[in-house]
Amino acid sequence: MDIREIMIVIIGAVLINNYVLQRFLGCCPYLGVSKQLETSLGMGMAVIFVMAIASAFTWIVQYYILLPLNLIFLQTIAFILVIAALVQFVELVIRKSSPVLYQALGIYLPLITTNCAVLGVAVINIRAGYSFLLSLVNGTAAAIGFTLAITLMAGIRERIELSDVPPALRGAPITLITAGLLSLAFFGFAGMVK
Amino acid sequence: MISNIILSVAVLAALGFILGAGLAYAARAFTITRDPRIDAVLAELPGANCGACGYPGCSGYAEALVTGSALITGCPVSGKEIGEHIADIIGQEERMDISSDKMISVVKCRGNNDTSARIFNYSGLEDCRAAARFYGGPKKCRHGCLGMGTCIGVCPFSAITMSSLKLPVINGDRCTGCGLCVDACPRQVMVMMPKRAGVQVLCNSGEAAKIARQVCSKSCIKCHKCADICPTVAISFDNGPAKINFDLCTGCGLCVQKCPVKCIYEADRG
Repeated sequence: MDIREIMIVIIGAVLINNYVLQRFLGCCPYLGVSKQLETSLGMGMAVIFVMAIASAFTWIVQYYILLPLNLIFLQTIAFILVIAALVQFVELVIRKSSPVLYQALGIYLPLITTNCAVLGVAVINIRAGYSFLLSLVNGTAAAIGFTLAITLMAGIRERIELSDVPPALRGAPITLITAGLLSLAFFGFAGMVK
Repeated sequence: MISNIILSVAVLAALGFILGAGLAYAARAFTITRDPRIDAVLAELPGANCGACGYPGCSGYAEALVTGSALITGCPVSGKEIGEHIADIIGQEERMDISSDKMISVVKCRGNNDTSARIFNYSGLEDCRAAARFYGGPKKCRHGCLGMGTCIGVCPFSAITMSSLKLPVINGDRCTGCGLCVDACPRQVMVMMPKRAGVQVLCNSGEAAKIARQVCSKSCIKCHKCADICPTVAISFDNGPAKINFDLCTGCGLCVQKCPVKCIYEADRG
């Protein structure tokens, strides 16, 4: 396990294969919670927390429960179970420790439960054959990539609020166009690491 | 085959049970016991959620009051009476007379459509913040009110109206001093001043006389005449327009008469 490998995983997950902008996972919160910079940062933090823990737990479930018992076909349902419980847990903790963040995230926190990005990172960790540490790194980096994407989006959308958008494009259309352009911009990172 | 099915069910059931037990424990460990006094205090507070106290809305402030991390005087909106009610509920002594230093917001600019020069015609979004971003707005004065009423939009107490010459007018009785307009104004034209202030300098420009003269007929030209005539030496200049020290000002009104550009006003905001 050398630093080089870890760096490649981090840069890969944050920039090159950004989970939102390149793999198109987790688009729901990406478009739903990106109206304000502050709430999107909060959402990003929640996702970082959930993804890091989910990566660790699903790796343990995969290699210490499913593989030895030859139950790989249960992967999806077992992972969803673990992730759902984790999100519930995070929700409890946040409600206790930060009512402001809890209010700001509103219905989006339970949405992480069925967020494909969280399940996606868990499955990709296994597919790529990452070790426990690399899974953790990949999960955190993917969530950082998500946070990067959502804060960029929120910053842009805050500017769009004040701009003169043609009536037909106001609201969702201009948001989707922005998301597309942002995604296109991130294609520039493709091929950065061989 | 059958053993496979039984094993899957057993594994998932076990996993579900462990996670469920963990959640049940967490739910108990992280329960929130809510003090009933919080709701009682919340019912007394103005409920405008203006955030002037520095807490997220009235509920956040109510919670801080009950836990003792905030003072009753932290809410600039509620007056003495409400303060006494809250003090009864939470048993905290009022440590300062709220009404003595009541602050209200003041439009520190007299540059309306008549008096202030323009450099271009702005036809964009009717919002001061948007206009300020567009080449600094249409007014020649870089410090004056843009007159598009962003402050009116943020005022939760409907204390601000727009004059016919596009300058906000503040209703001193309605203004609660929450300071939201101060934060919203991109030009820092809205300022908090004590309600008891006798006279006010209503110009925000620190430009030298020559430029000030060109951009607005109501701009302070830093002539120091007000400072010279003031009997209590309450007026000073430090790299800006005339500044009044309200602790020294007696409201005699000599400076109002002396000011050559008439940018000092009696406090009734004429």
